[in-house]
Amino acid sequence: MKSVVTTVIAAADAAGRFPSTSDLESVQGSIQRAAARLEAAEKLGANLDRVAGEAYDACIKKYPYLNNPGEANSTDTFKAKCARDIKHYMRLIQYSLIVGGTGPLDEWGIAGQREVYRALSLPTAPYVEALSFARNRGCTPRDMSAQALTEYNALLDYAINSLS
Amino acid sequence: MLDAFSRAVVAADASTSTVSDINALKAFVASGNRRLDAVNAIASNASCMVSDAVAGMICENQGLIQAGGNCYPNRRMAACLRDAEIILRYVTYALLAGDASVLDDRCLNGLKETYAALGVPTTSTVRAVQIMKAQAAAHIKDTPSDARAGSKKRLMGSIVTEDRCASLVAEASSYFDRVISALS
Amino acid sequence: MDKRFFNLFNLTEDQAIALLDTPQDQISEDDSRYIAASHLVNFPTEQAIAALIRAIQQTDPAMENRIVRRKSVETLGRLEAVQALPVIHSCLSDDDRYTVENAVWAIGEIGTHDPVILEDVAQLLHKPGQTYRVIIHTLAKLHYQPALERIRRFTDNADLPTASAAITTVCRFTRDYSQMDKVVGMLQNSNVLARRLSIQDLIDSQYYDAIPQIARCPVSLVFRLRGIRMLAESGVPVGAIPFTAIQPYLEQSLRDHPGDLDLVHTYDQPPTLPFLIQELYETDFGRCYLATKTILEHHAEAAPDALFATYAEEGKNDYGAHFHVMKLFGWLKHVPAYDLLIESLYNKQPQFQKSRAAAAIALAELGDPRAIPHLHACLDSKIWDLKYAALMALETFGDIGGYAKITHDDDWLIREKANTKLVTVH
Repeated sequence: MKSVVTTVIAAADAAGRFPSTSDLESVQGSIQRAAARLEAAEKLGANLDRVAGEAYDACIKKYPYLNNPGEANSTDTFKAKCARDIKHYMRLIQYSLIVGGTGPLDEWGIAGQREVYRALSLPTAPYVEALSFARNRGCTPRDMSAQALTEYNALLDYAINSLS
Repeated sequence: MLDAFSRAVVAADASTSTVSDINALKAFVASGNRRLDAVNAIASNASCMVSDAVAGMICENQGLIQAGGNCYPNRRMAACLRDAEIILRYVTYALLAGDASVLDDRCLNGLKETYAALGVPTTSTVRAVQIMKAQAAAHIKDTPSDARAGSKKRLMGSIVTEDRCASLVAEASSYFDRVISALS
Repeated sequence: MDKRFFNLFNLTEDQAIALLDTPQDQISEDDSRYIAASHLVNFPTEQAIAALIRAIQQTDPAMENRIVRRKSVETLGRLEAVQALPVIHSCLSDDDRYTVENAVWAIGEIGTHDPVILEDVAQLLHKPGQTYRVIIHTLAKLHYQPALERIRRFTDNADLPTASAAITTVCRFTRDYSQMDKVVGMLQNSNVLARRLSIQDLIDSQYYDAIPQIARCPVSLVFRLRGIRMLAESGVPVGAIPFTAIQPYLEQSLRDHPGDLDLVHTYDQPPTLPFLIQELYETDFGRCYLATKTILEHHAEAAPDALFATYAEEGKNDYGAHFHVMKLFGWLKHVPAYDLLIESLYNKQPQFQKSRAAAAIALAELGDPRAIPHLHACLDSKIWDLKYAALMALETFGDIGGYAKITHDDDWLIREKANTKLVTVH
């Protein structure tokens, strides 16, 4: 699992050296930003079901054509499953906030996912739309501090960008 | 390879839940500078630590440098120093990461078998690791011994906390213990 | 192409084009150009294609616009719009790696022999930060041999799926199969995405030897069946492999018993039943199969009540868990689930399609002969795996009356199945 710390260690190991001053400086930089990340992770973790559910509900409401009768999403079924997938991405976003890098999203949510969506002709639009809603909904200081929201939004952008 | 943060993520993922114990990670962050000081203290003193530990090991067992001993001739002495440095380096990585996986995966995995195949005496190796463990504790606490260091005494001068970094000392010691138990 | 999910948005072609042409800063809050770009896949017309090309020519780098451009490139690829090749070609030099990835993929879908385009695709192998796997796939698909040595350099790539695509392509170009065991090994990777991608590479390399391992790979049976079926489609007609050599693995995958899979996960301690039930909702089917297996081994008695409960609560709405619940009722031979299985057998909602074949297999496990006419009714379906599963289920009941009906089936795999059976009967 890639993070700032593991990347630094892997590089030091490849060179067979002890952690250098600049290695420790980059770890320190990551630790300084960690408070904001952890705050966002804590808030998201405590509200994951609600955030994911709202994102999808809003997407359904916002795009009435998502409720076209007779189609895959005409029942609560598609909604529930799609909400679950959104929740999956939200969980990976929380993990990425924790490790301070996009490793969890990359390894468990994105690498290969684009290929699979294309190969099976699966729609990405509901995910993109729901994550975009979450992206525009976060509010400071109501939901979290400004720095925390910046970290959170950056990962939502990353997920939207990588899935679309 | 994992660190304290990714370890929490991997554990949460095993049960498909979010990471809920954020407080432990906040504590990790709060003591982050002390951890970096500790890593820096070991890294800056590594070559002295290694040579002192190997010297101490030999003092206690002179047979090692006599013909037929495992640190004889110089070529094998050099290999011994190199190995001690490698072990210390991976312990340092583990301390930086706050997780033992890098030590386990990249250093200890198969080490005992390798030493057995090469005929390296594990009791001597363990002794050198024990000395490094004590040295590391002294460097993290920044309390090198006046009696032993004498004129060579060197203080890192980092801010000393009241508990003298007891939890970091314990954590570093646990990594050395991991090496010792992997070799025993 | 599977089009089950194409028509999600109930937009007319004109509406979608109008949306796509609306400048991003004037788009209403309730609309999405991204959806419009996705939706136009349903309209292979000149005006839809022209609108998608116009969308690509809007080069505002803001993310909202970037994702629309990418989607437009993808849709043009799906529409196999030859007239879009020049504009898609120009996307190869884009700064956005996903736009480049989609452009490369679309070129593969549309197809071209133009050496300039092909060489530009190959040149991307030297550019840092690209999705090399997709680039390699397209070069392979379009038989661009001059890229062989450049592709060969990726066979040791640290990213396993990239290495896998490179090995596969070298093997396609040179018929040298010596490194294919690395690709086969990826079927057992702990990452579910790597396992799925490995099957794709085995399909692409026509590596028929891997069919038994594909059948044992712990991913959803959708991926296994797709792999085995596509290998059958390329190998049987040219005589590379007989249907009878594929048949046992095909049927093993359709049956889909967790005992027939090489699972990659383990539990470090015996889990509780509620945990195992929750695992049935996982997106990694490898984990679901482990849960299924553990339920069968350790919780067979208490499982049916728990399964009914989770079905009523959430499972009926979750196509993953729905499937596993049907399978489990079968393996548990739980007769009270009969009505539920019959209901699933007829469930026509597209996302529950794989539960129908699962229900057919499960009904055979229950052994209640009332199911026989229902299974016969499935033979009228257009869905091949449902038909095939119904045939297998009927076989379990000793009923081979269905074969006469399907000897001229539209689906060649079903005809092959009928042929083998008729040969045995005669």
